[in-house]
Amino acid sequence: MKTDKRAYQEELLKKLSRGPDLKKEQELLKQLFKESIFWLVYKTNKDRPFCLDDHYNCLWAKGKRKQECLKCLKRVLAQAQRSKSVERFLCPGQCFGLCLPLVQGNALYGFLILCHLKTAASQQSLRLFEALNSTILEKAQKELELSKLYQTIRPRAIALSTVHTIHRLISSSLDLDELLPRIARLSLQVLRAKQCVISLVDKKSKRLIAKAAIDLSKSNTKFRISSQIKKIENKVMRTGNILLKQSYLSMPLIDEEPIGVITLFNKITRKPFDNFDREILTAFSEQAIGAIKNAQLYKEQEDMLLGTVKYLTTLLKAKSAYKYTHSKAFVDIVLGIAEELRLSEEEQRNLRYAAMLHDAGKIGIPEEILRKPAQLSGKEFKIIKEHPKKSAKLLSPLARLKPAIAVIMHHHEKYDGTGYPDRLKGEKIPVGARIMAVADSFEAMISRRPYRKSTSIFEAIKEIKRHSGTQFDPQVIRAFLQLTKRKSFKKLLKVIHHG
Amino acid sequence: MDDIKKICESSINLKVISFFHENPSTVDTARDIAAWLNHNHEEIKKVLDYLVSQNILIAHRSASTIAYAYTQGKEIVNRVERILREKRGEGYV
Repeated sequence: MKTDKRAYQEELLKKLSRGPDLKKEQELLKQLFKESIFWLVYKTNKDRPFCLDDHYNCLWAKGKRKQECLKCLKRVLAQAQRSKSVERFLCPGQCFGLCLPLVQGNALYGFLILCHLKTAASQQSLRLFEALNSTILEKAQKELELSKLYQTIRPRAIALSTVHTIHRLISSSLDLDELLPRIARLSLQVLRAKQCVISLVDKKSKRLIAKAAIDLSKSNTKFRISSQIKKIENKVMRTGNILLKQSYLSMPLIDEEPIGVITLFNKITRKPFDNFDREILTAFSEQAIGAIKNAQLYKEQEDMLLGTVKYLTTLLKAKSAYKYTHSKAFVDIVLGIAEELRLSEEEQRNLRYAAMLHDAGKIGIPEEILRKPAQLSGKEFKIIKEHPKKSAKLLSPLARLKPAIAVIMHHHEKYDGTGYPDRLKGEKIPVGARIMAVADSFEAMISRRPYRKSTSIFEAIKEIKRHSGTQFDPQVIRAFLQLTKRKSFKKLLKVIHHG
Repeated sequence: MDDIKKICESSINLKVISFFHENPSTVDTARDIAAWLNHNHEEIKKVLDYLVSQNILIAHRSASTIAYAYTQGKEIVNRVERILREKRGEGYV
């Protein structure tokens, strides 16, 4: 407590001595009492005064006289400490001086000394001196309190802002494969640790499976999970308690039931993990649990949707066994072009649904037209051309498929605006639809039909290129040509040829 | 990568680096960091991106946010510590 008080006193006087107010006062006093010497002294540390002006510039206080001068000052300081009011004195060099204690209530912080005065200070100037110092002291105190408050609040406010930013970072991802490494990296950042493992409970086996493991001390950041780590995780999972050891901190991720474990190893500073780290990881984990649960729920919904889409595709295939059905490779070609065009994961996901379901509307087309083993008549083709609209209408109750429906609706539009159903042109056609147009034509050309032979790959590519800028988007064609250079493309072709 | 000492010659670079060195657990957006440093947001954003390119900071990106954090590289942190100590001695920090 005493140390705190002394530290506060030191800080206050430091503030006072560095601030502009005391310097202004010094200038004022120098104008009033010419050739005066002004200095600030600690209450308890007289041998370490804060000199604003060098006392020993005093010509009289040289050599042996210095000790005499100090003796006089010590006596004056003791008097001022007792009286807590201004003390006037006459120094051994026959100069006048003043000593003003810096007092606030009962607390004495230090002294201001003004010496080397040719004449004694009047009572009036003493009062002025006292009032001025009281104001300066109060101001310095307020500033110090404000700065202390700032120093206390600022780190907490910064930490709170970090918590908020982390929440934004982890709640924006619904993809577990992206989310878990992100949580691991952020936890390493906040706790300044080297390694992190996040394991989640597998719903079927009920066992912990490592989903993200990062080691920042390795250049490739890969972290090998040893049996020792598995033991730690299983213990935390089994007991539901946090394990805090010098070199690691392991915490269960518990929602309504345990969903996993997060473990951090080795602080960068080589210090042991402590209770503060435990508190931070607890707050961090609460956010992580929410984000993980959301992502798991989203994945379940996506899986359900994909199941529904697959079921619809099977139905469609059963209805049109001979005609206009696409191979499994069609979806891969569409997604391959999308990858080359660097479409986002969300766009690719929607494009997958669109590619799987784009002919769903054919369910509403008479079977004799779909199964006709010859070229279609004009009237029949007109009916066929209705299928994009029929597909869109059929799928519209599934709200999640809304972005895919826009692609399905326009996959028969042509880049020059001569397609159907809406004769959209250029960029007005959704990019997914422009991709599907290329993939659809390519696959149709190289597939066998009951009424015609298949075209060779070379001829099909040539034909696609020939329609660049008219039927197809040149940018999509460039991406398609890039795709044809991939090794995996040959495998796709095999799938198409084998039906 | 430029020399860290040279990077710290710019007062705004030094201000940002000092902030992260003093608050190494911080993960925050450019806007928030600009607020902590009482500085213009656009200028701070440029400095943050430059310091990321120099491996002094790390950018954590999501679809809607970029958050900046201090490097975990021991060598860089130690080097910054030495430079800041020198600068403190000179009264710059």
